[in-house]
Amino acid sequence: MIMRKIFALLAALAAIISAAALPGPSFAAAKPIELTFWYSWTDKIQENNINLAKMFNETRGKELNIQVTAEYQGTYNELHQKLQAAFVAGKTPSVTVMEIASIKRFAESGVILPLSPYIERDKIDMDDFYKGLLINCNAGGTWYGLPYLRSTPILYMNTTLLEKAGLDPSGPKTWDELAEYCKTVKEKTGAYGITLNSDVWIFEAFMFENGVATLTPDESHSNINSPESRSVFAFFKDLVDKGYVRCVAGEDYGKVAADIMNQKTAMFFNSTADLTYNLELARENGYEINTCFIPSNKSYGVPTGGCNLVLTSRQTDEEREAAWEFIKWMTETKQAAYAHAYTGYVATRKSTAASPEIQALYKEKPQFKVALDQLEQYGHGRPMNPGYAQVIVEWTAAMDAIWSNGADIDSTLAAAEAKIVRMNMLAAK
Amino acid sequence: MQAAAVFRKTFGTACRIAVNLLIFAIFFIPFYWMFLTAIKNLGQTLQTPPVFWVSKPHWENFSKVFAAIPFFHMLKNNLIMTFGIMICQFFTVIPAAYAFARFRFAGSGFLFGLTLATMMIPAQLVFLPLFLMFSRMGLINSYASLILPWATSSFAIFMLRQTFKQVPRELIEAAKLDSASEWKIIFKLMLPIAKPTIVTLGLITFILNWNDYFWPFVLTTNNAVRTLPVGITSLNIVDGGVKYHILMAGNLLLVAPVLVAFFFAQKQIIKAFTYMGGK
Repeated sequence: MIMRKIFALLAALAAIISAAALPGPSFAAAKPIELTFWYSWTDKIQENNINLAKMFNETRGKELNIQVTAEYQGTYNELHQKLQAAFVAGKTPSVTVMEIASIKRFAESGVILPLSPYIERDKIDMDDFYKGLLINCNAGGTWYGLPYLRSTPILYMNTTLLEKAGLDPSGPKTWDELAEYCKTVKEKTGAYGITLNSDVWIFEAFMFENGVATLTPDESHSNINSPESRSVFAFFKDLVDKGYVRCVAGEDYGKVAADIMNQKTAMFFNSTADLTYNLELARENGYEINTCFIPSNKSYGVPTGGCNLVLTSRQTDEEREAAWEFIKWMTETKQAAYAHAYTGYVATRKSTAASPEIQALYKEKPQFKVALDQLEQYGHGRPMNPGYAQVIVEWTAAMDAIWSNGADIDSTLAAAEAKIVRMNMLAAK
Repeated sequence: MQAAAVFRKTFGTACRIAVNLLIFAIFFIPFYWMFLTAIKNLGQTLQTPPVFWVSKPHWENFSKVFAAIPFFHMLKNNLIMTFGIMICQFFTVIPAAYAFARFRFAGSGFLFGLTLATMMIPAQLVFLPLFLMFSRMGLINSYASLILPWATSSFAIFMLRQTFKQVPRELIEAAKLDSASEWKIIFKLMLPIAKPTIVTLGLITFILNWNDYFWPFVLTTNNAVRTLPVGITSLNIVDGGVKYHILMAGNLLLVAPVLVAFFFAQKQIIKAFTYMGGK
């Protein structure tokens, strides 16, 4: 009896499984070239990727008989890991997004192909892309990626709080003004001037503003114990000690977000990609948000972030050509404008920013333009040394120790540098 | 004396109620918080001081979950994977447990030890070779890749073997005298006695696999067979601010079936543990 019931259940289940696993009917006469395109992140970014792939299939893809399927793969890190595993197994997607600092690593291991021959052949105008975005598309003088969903950090301000403190809502221009702003906000409103988490990407901006990068130009040494780094640590530590600024330990942004929502902080540093989200938060909690350049010390300067589009190596020549057509189309002026407006990532091309629909967007939401101006004039790349990931861990730990736990600057940074050297983190592979 | 006794009794009752309330709070508040967050708007999710009541519930958060992920497709995948695994385990675990409990054969001790040893290998260690294996067999993005790695369970074999061992030898001897076959002994004698354990194991397998994120994510590259935990987690994988209210609404929809399953199996589970403890 029991056995019969179980077999009936099994048979039913087998029917369900086989029905679900059957492929749908295919009507295509001339079989199109089918490509897969991997992307990270959900929400607006996912919608943007799916929409663009669909638009490609209906236009250029239809002309060239190419069909692209966009597939979600988690965070950048998860996507990178899956790409590695898929490469070993011999089944990679044709096109994928790739976090900008990882390009060199994947180029060196042969997972992705140089784009230079295609760029030269099809005469892609590389000068139309913003210079700051191109640095991380290149490894050893060869192009490996084209800028796709790219961002920079900017300074966000709760102007409702700034006005309450009697401050100019257009924001501080220099570090001295930034310190003044923090002091006034705290004294007049009780809120913190800035809430900050230990995010090395933001620290990269602080370093550029003092005229150096986090690594030396040849990326063989870190600048963590340089005078510039020490002065950045000291500047914010002083503000923390006085109670004007709150630093929360760790890379997790959640606690900063809580301070923003509860209007416990007047200013915070964040990616341009978060603009839409922050505008929604502000609306729901009844305050105004404005953005400005991250204030300058010796100069202005910010890193860029986000992802490029890359071409994988393990595919036939025909597939490569088709995949390149997709990458080319995705980064064209019109599509770049679509992604910019839909997601809040920066416009990657000058021609995109100049297009009428984007000019109209800037009129409506001037906060979008701030990031672009900052990028155009002061955008830098990120270190691409594969060992940088480990340096980031040390740097984050130093930020936690000094800003959140009151550790001594000189000894903490000396120890961090010693560890980076001792463990050969940045040594050539 | 009398007063002291009364006091002691009242004090004891008060303590018991206090402890019970505390335990209730520990288990209930996370669920309440989850439910509450699921009906807040984004601005309220991280509010301090936190609010413990929402006067204007945002039920649309749930429809936003349905819009964000292919919910019913993933639910179907989750059901197929979870019940597929449970059925496979039913047919692999019971005979193995019975054999280990009843017979001593050459290498039985070694084989049982080997079975237990597999419990000590973390999934992260075998995922790459498994991925490569499934990839070469062309099974990536198929139900087989989700079900086969879990088609048996050493933990369940161990638990069931212990239960089978508790069945009095005389009972089995009596059945044998009535010329019952081994299969008959398993199905007519052993299984009814072990029912609480089997229900408990079933529930554990159900919860474990229903909520599993790692395998369904690692062994898939598209949404064809991806399950609900992959979908719900993807609500958290955003480059920017997390929408906690939508995420919690999704989580609530994910755990609801587990709560229902537990509700129905509750009695059996308690029996399983008291039975084993009593012996």
